[in-house]
Amino acid sequence: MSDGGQETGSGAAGGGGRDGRDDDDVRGSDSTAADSQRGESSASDSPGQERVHGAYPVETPEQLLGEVAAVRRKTRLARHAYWFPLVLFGLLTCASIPFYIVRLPPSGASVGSSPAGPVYLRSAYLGGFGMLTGRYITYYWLAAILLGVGATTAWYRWRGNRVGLRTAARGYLITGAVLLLLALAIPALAVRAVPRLMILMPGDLLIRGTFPLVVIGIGLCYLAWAERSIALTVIAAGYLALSLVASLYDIENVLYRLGWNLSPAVSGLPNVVLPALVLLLSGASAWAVQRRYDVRPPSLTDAEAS
Amino acid sequence: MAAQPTGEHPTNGLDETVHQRHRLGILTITSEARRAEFGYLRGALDLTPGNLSRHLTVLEDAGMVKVEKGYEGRRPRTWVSITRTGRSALAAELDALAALVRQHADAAKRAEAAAKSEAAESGDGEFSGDGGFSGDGD
Repeated sequence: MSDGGQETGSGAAGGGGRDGRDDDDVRGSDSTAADSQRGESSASDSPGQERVHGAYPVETPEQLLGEVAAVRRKTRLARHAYWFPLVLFGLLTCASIPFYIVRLPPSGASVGSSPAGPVYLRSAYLGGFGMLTGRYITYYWLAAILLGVGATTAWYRWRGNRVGLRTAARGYLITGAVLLLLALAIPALAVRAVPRLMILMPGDLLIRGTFPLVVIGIGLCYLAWAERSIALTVIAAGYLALSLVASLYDIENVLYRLGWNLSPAVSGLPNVVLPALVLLLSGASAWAVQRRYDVRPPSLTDAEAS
Repeated sequence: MAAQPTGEHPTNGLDETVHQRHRLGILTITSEARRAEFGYLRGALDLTPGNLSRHLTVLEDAGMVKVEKGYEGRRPRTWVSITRTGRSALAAELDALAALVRQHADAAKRAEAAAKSEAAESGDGEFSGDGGFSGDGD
């Protein structure tokens, strides 16, 4: 390559071209005449350094495709960091348990008094529809999901800087924000302006107050796509299915058949604890695998990178 | 020789800018992440900084990657991301390579079939020859 090319190279990537060996490596490892077609001369080569095609091992298409597959697999393994959101949302779900302990009202009082706060914060999608859940559950889930989405985005950014591979986490932030906005806007609009929107709020799905777990599951499905991870896809799909079951069915019934007779105050807890356990166990397993690939790339000296 | 399949030969789909194995590696890695850092690419592809820089220049000149420089604290960082052109070129290259593999496999099958039929034909010849030989013996 010409000297001109060398200057461009240093300017573009900041890496170097400071020693002849590097230049020779690039010239020699170019498989064909790609550079010569661009009019780049080999004038700087000494005769002894000339390399003809064939001086390097020629790779078959099978070998190249195999290398591409190996590089792709290695890159995905290095980029995967989903243990953190799994553990985080598992812990946030555990922290929501007190809101699902039923406090039966004194005799004579009506069950299911209106939750506190303005109407847009009584979102049925954030647990506000639950007749016996805590009054402030919507505040909790709003704060918890905001915290979870924000911390996950920051985590991916931090880890991307550390490993040298960034995941498209901004889309996750946008997905989380849109889901929360819909969760707040639809119930408010349905009550105030567009009653027809009530069709989007089926009581069977929202009455147990565990729909926030479905929101978390949808977010995890987006992460699985961004991470291009089959394992996370399986986890997210399984979790989403379980969270839908937890919203539609009293898991306590299964426990009762197995001989566990829970008191009425905690009869709703299995619907929360089971999804939380799935997240925590999946997160712990993913951490055990992913920590092996959490390696900083070799750092450049300031001189090399400037 | 078996007839070539009609249509363009897969090698016509190979782009010399992309076909080089390190540049193919750079495009593959950057297609898997939103951005890849210079140090990661260097380690993953086992290249010297100068060598990687030259490959990036070739790809950047072809509009296949975008190189951004910045600082993280006092540490200089160079991030590389793939462009839409780069994604298309990578997909075309992988398609062409896969087509070549398929063509090689087909050719190998045809050659094997031809060899088998040739062996069968020569086997028939030997049989009649043996008969002739045994006849001479008698």
